Formats: sequence, C-alpha cells, structure tokens
Amino acid sequence: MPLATTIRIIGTFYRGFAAVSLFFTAFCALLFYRNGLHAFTEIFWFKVITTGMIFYFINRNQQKEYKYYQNLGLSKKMLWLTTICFDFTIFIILIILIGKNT
Amino acid sequence: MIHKLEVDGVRFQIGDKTILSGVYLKCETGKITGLLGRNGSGKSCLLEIISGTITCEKSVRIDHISYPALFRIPGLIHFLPQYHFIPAFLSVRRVFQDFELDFDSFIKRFPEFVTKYKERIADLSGGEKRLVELYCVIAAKSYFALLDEPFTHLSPVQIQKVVSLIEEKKSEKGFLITDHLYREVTGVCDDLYVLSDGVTHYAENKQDMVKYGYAKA
Repeated sequence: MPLATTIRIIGTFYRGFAAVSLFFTAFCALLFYRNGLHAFTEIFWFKVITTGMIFYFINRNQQKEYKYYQNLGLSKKMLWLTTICFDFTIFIILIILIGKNT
Repeated sequence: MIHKLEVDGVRFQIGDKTILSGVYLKCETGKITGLLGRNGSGKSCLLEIISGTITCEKSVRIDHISYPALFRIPGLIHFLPQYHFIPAFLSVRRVFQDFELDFDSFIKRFPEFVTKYKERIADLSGGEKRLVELYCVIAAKSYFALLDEPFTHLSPVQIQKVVSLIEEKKSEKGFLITDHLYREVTGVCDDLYVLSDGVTHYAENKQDMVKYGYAKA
C-alpha cells in the first residue's frame, strides 16, 4: 500500500479521538506555562494517564471499527503505535516551545 | 492462476472449553465455499482465526505458504464481520477511496445509492450500510473474501443482487461464506463444510447436513 494511503488511513483512526487528545495536550501545555519546568513530571504523567484512558474507551466502545483498518492491512498495534507517537510528538514540541519562550 | 487457501491444525479454547479442534478447510479462487454450523459452533471464531485477528494454534496457508495473520498482508484477504464495521463518521466517498473502488460500478448495480456518495455512513440505514460493507469486501482486490453472515439486514431482492455479484467476482477470487440462511448458502456454493463439535465435515448433500446435525431430515 502506498505510504500516503497508509498515513491517510492512520489519520482517519486518529480523527476518532484527536479532539479529546489534543484538548488534554493543550491543557498540559497550559499547566506547563503556568508552573514551569518543576511541574514537568506531574504533567507528563497526567498526559500518559489521559492517553491510557482514551485507549481504554476506544477499545471498549469502538472495537468493531478495528475491522475496517484490518481490512486495509493495518493492525491495532500499528494504529496505536503510530498515533500515540504522533500525539506525544505534538505534546513534547509544545512543551519545548513553551520552555524556550518562558 | 488458481490460489488455494487451506486451514488446519486449529486448536481454539475459551477457558476449559474447546471450541475448535479438528478443522480442515480448503477454499480456492474461482469457487465459493460454504461453512454451516449451529449457533455457537465457532463459525465466526474460525473466520477470525483464518484472518488472523484471533490468535491461536493453527496453520493457515495460501499456495502452501503459512501466514500467522493474513490481514496484515495487503491483497490476500478481506473479511466481512457479522456486525457493522465502517466508522460512522466516514463518508461513502471516503470508504470507496480507501478500498480503491469505483463508485460508478457500484451504482450501476445499486442505483438507489446514486445520491448517497457524499453521505456519512452514520446517515445510511442498516441495510444500506451492509450493502456498502459487502460491496467493499466482495469487490476489493484480494485473493479471498471471508463473509460472516453476509445476508443479514438485506431484503430478498438485495440478497439476489449480492449473490449475483459474488458469482460474478468468483472468477477473480475465492469466497468463504457462512450464514444462517442456509438455502442461499447452499444455492450459491461449490463446496460445503459443516462445523459441528469443533470439527469441520465436508458435506456433499443434504443427507450429510442431517448426518452432522445441521439440518432435519
């Protein structure tokens, strides 16, 4: 499958929870902006826990939709690895940008 | 070239209960293979095991090459589960794009969809969703299609259209079908297996279906 198609399909999967995840990322960025570097550990674990909760709810409520992605050649592991990496990359970039500007 | 899908050595348990233990099944491109069995006999599990979405002890081979999870290799199989599986927020257009299918060919067969190209899957009726799912799995490019209860949610006219689509596409791929509408299944299939007590039996006629406890004499 062409890489562009794979990315588009992974993007479709991410769309299912992007709004919630990006909301938590923005909230983490706000906390970091207000509290600075010494709060990073707590903020990081907050992000990890909220991502875990999203994983749990998607697995519980939208399990049937995995068949769509599996029919297109993408396993659950592949979907979650790529979307979580992308999500955490956004989180880290935001934290770095805020850290540089404060 | 004819491709051959073979399954054996399946051992699947839930807790202490053995669901599947003596399965042999063969499906070829150019043929429709039926799989019948009572409720809870393990038909859906077997299809999931073949596609690789349930892992257990098994040997699933295409052209003598063994695969632990067929679904991960593009172009080998597509699988229709018995429930709706397309994310509701997607549009019909997007689904056809993902499966690399031509919408015009679809509306030639199902003209009632002519105005639905841009609609979301969530806005379709149960039967319409099923038709879109069925068409994607039947028409998408792959060697085999596994269809778990394909006729659920469909009217008799739609079932007839789907059967003719399957018969048309069987020149390009192999089909493994399981459904409780056994007359439709037996009417369309070239080979038939009955799954009972975790074992598959090749059935040549109705007497065999009675013998293996699926149909009444």
